[in-house]
Amino acid sequence: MLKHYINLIRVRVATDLKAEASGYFLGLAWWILEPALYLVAFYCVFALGFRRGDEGFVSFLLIGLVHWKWFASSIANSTTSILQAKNLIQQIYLPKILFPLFVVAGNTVKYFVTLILLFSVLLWQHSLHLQYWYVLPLIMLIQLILITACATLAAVLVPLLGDLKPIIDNGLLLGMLISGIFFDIGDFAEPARTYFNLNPMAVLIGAYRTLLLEGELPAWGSVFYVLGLSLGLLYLSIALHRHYDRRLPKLIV
Amino acid sequence: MNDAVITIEDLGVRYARQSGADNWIIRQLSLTILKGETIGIIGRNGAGKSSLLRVLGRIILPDEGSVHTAPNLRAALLTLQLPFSTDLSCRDNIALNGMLLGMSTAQVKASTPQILDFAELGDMEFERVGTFSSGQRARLALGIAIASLPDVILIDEVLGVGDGVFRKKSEQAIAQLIRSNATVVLVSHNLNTISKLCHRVMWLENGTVKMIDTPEIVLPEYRRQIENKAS
Repeated sequence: MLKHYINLIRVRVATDLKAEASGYFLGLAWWILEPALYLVAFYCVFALGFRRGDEGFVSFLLIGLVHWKWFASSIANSTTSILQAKNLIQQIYLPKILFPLFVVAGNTVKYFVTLILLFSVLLWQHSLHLQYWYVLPLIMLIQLILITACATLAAVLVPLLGDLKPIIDNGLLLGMLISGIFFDIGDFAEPARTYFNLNPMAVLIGAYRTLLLEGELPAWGSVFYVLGLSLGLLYLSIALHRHYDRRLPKLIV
Repeated sequence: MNDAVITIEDLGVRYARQSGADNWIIRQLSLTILKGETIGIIGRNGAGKSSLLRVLGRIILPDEGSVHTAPNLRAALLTLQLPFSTDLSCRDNIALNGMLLGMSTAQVKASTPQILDFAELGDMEFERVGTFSSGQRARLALGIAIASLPDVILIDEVLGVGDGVFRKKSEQAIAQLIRSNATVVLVSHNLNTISKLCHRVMWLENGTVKMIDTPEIVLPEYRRQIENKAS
């Protein structure tokens, strides 16, 4: 059955992306154009508008934005993923965890497309350091576990506690401001730096920058803190999904 | 037609009211479904018919009692309410919806010509479903549903939808399924359909079994009660 569900995720992601592209005149080109416009908008505001810092700021900013977008889009689109399928789940049995997983998988594909853009800009800016390139997939995997945990948790909790959706939406906005996308948490004095680094996305964005811009290894203690937190949240999410899987159709009417 | 495929004992299903009080939809219902039989379920609105199908399809859990199924048995609702994506082609929609209904990629591939043929959409395989009429979409949904049949088919008034031509086509398809020794649980308000297709009929009233026997015994009693209530 697991194989069937993995295939279903694959087919659903492919058809969703195809359907999304078919709605536009430029079709598949939007896979590149959409993230490019997103990055250009922030570049204009921060690098040109506020004239922030040195040339390296563009690379610094883009690394933060690309990885934040992967996280935030996955969570924001997952919150109502089970609710949106309410007619379907009254008719056929499907594990409810699949609905946020469709979202996470789709956003992960889009993230990899954006990554091509990011690496192109880093190369153009001469700021890419790949001494420890082999550590990058590990950090990405940890972020994927974090995203999967948060997205599946949000998807099962929002149908149970409707008030959670505006809290998550505003929490993501706050998260964008405190995850060190626009500033370097390393510049903060203690204890502020420690508090900011409790935020797992701040740690991961810092780790990507250390790897890609400085060509150094990230602080492993912080990275393993994020891994432990992500696995804990994933365990909680799976337990909640197990409990509510066949109860949700009665609660969502 | 001897082996029990599903055995239900003292089933109870409740929904919470807004006030917090329990609203029992089904209570103390026991039933054994045998391999190859067609059971009709009749009763007034709110009698618990659809909730029973959802328990049999393992969409919801019972709140009381137990449901035992034969190993590896799949029971599922025959549904026409498939989430078609209007931006996708007929072929992509067959793949996605067939898999949502439990078909493997190989089964979808093998069944696609048969589904297109059933839905009379052979020349529209690569057309967007958004351009289809509601009749064409209903035929496509029925074609996919029939191609992805489970071991126990649960049918909730699917025969009553669509125009005259579609209704006839769906009735014929389902009658053919039933005659092919499939195990079917059929909920319908159409007593003629129940009489024609079912081996046994269960009459539900307020979530409990009022009567269960052959159509010849149950249906006259049910008709009599409806007439008495109407007059």
